[in-house]
Amino acid sequence: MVFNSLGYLVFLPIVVAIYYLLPIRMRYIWLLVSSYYFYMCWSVKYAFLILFSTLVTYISALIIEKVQNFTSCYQRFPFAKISLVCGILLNLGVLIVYKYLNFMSETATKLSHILGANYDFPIYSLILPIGISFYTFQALGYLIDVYRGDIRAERNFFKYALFVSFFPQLVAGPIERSKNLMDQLTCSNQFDFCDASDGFLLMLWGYFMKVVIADRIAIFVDSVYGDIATYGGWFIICATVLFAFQIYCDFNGYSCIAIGTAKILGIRLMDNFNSPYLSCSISEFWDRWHISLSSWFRDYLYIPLGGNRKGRLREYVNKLIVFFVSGLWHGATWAFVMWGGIHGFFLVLGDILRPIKKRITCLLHLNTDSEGNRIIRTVFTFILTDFAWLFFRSQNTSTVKSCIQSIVSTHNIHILFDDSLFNIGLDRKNFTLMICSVFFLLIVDICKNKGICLRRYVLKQDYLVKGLVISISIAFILIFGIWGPGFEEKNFIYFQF
Amino acid sequence: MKKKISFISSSKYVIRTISIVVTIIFTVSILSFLTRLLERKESVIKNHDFFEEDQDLDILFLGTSHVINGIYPLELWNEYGYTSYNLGNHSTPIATSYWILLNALDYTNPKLVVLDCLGWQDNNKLPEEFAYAHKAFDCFPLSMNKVRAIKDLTEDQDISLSGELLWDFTSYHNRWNQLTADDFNIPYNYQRGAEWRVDVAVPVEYEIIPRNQLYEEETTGKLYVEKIIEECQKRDIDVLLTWLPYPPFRPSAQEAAHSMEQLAKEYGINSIDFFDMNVVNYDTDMYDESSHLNPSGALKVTNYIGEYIKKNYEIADHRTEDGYESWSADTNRYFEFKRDNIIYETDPVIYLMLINDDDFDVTITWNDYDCLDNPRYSSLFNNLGLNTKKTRNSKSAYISGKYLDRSATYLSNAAEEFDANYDLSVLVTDVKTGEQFDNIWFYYADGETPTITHIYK
Repeated sequence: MVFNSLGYLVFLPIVVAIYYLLPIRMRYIWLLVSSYYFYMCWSVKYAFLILFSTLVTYISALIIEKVQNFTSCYQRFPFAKISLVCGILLNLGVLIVYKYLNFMSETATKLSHILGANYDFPIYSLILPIGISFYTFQALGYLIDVYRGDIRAERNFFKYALFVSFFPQLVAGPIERSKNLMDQLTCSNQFDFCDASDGFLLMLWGYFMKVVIADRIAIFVDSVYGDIATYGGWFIICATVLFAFQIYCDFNGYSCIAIGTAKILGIRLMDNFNSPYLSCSISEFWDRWHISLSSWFRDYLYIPLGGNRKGRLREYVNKLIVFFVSGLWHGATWAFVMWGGIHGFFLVLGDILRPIKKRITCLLHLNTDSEGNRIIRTVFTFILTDFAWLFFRSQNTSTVKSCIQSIVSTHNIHILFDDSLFNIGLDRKNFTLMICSVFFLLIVDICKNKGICLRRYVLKQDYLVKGLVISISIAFILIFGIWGPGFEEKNFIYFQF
Repeated sequence: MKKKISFISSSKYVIRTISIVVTIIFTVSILSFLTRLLERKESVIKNHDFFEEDQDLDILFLGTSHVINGIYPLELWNEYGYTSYNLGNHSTPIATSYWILLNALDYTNPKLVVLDCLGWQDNNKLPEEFAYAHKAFDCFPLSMNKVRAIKDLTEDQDISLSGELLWDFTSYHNRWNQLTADDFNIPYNYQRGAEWRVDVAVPVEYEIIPRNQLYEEETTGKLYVEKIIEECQKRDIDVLLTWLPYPPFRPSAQEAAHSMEQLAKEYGINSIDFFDMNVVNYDTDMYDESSHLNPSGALKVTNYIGEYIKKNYEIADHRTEDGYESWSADTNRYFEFKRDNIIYETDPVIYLMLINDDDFDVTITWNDYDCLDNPRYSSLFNNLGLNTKKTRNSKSAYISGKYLDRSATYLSNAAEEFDANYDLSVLVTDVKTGEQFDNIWFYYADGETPTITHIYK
């Protein structure tokens, strides 16, 4: 079941209605059942993987806390650490098997051929369970928090199982922290009309981003990347620029629907995006993009590696490691690793060049606070991130190479001025709608950046205006959305992670 | 204080409830409007007038595109005063026709249902081209019968198909970039569901098989013919089964037509198998080589059915009754349409086919008879009711004939009446008004493309 399916639009009202009708102590059980049902609509057998991850981390956390309560210091640490390591390895083991086994086999095969051994490592037909990267990290985050003493281990297995499998954020985040989410799952949430309205509007915004913008851009981008030999040069540049918005709208769309759904249920999830394309640097970009994942890596990988506490060089190495791992988290190909590495490189380079930039700014008396300066830095940051998106979208190194070669060697800028762009899956009207929608998205993001929340502004109006805005929004999404016969329900891009 | 708080919270509750209700009303209203605006209009264009009828219709015609192109309700009104509607639908299996009928019976109670049994051999319930399922049902408002129809027709199909038919917005929402003026000013078909297909094709070869050869297989098509008969008999509606004419190059079609007649006898109802009759001339009356009738063929079939109904059923002539003004008005419009088709036609073959109509008198003045050597033109003149025979010296021909009430043609060698370069002149007169509304000069020469030149009065 995907968010942009009829099934979900039937599923959600039923879940919400029964949730609020049930006694408070039964509600989390109902959510747990609904969450497993939600996942099992995709696959029954892979729901057992979630259960496995839940059991392992639940038991590990209990052992860790039990051991940490021992008065003897000698007895405490090895067992707790062993339990932590076992929990992490077992969970990561499952993730590695399903996600990286074939990648490792292919890499080993290539290496063996390069070294002359010519051995072909076996490739297994494994289906990647959707959301495995997300719920695994969520469970590991909880385990590490218990080990650090940041939270107490949860004794109620069903409550903990719900924390791991909570359906709005199960398959594509945000990756929640136990401190934020755990207690909300069982606290007495009365139906709050304002929260529900806000959640509903947030869901509408999410659907607009996903179904109107992301899925429309996908038609163009998939056509170009599917035939690079025909659509070279500026076609690839345009497709890559649009892909930046496709992935943003796809992922943020999902997050908005997830956060909106949770809000209707009276549960607050963390924000996952904060107008990332208005960032003035790569560092700022990662403060605004996929916030739950970047903060997870910061707290559970970067800081344990030493963070910035072990000297400049170690700091840069740690950052590079984190971004390589982040790239690998996104996909099991070298293109994703390179994508992550590029971001790590940009980040480190940015840090190295910061004093030089500061000196130049001073020398030239540039005002970094001026709007013009911000715009230039924003555009430059977008160009850097978009260059990295080329690796992400290509998904394999040979496509990356072909794309870059084509961009360098094909001179066809005229396609921006004739009708060439309107013959690649989207006619003129659809292309225009796509561009207008992206502009609207940017305007909303700019407003958000300036502290203006359009959603709250709509909710403050009287019920006639509110009703009109909501009904027009629904009609807009239904008319201009990419759905229905002839269009398959497009999965969210981040499902494959 | 407690009362005040209670009042405030209950009025907040009321306002929130109103807010939700208002939002739902706005959403439903906007979506209803958009559903009508964005849907493809073919179904509404064809069947709009069906829903506008105040009185019960006398006859409903059901079947495939053979019926759409083969039976003209306004001709039946003009000649016999019967009100009817052509509910034929393209590529439609009989199961779909059954449900079209059941939905139609929510709006009218006819005396007679005429079902064309093409599709007897078919085991499909839905048209192969799903767009035709839309054309069949989009015009019908949501009702229990529509839901039952969709449930029955899509039971072995993907559930999304039933969703599409129940709320066609799911199919048409992305037509926003295809809207034209016709989506706003819908050009409704005033011809009561009939559609003209204008051309003259060369028919395929076929052989007539013995009448005792039957189509033995039990099919979904046959099952739904029985359901239609039983449903009509339950409601006291007469049923007439037909097999409209086309070159029956597949023996199975003739076998099925024979089985149709047998089934009709079993149920005690009438049937007409046009295969074995010479009602139409395939050389002149086909739009395509093996399927649909052109206007000449359709007029013959419609007139035949009209006479048959007159002899075998008691259906009143409403031409002088009050309440049928729209029928007379639309028939006049239909006559204008027929005249315009003739006036603006430039293809000689089609022209000669179109003027084969009881409503028009045709006067042909001959200068040369070379065109009679061409079998196509010869058969077209025969179709007009003329016996044509060229004499051996080829300078003259024996041409005479009368077709129903049309005046006889005139033999003439007078070249002064029209340009001597032309072979013949055709004068077309409106029988009702007496107006000579079209005159053409026909040019024919071996090796050259024949032409007609319109000389208007």
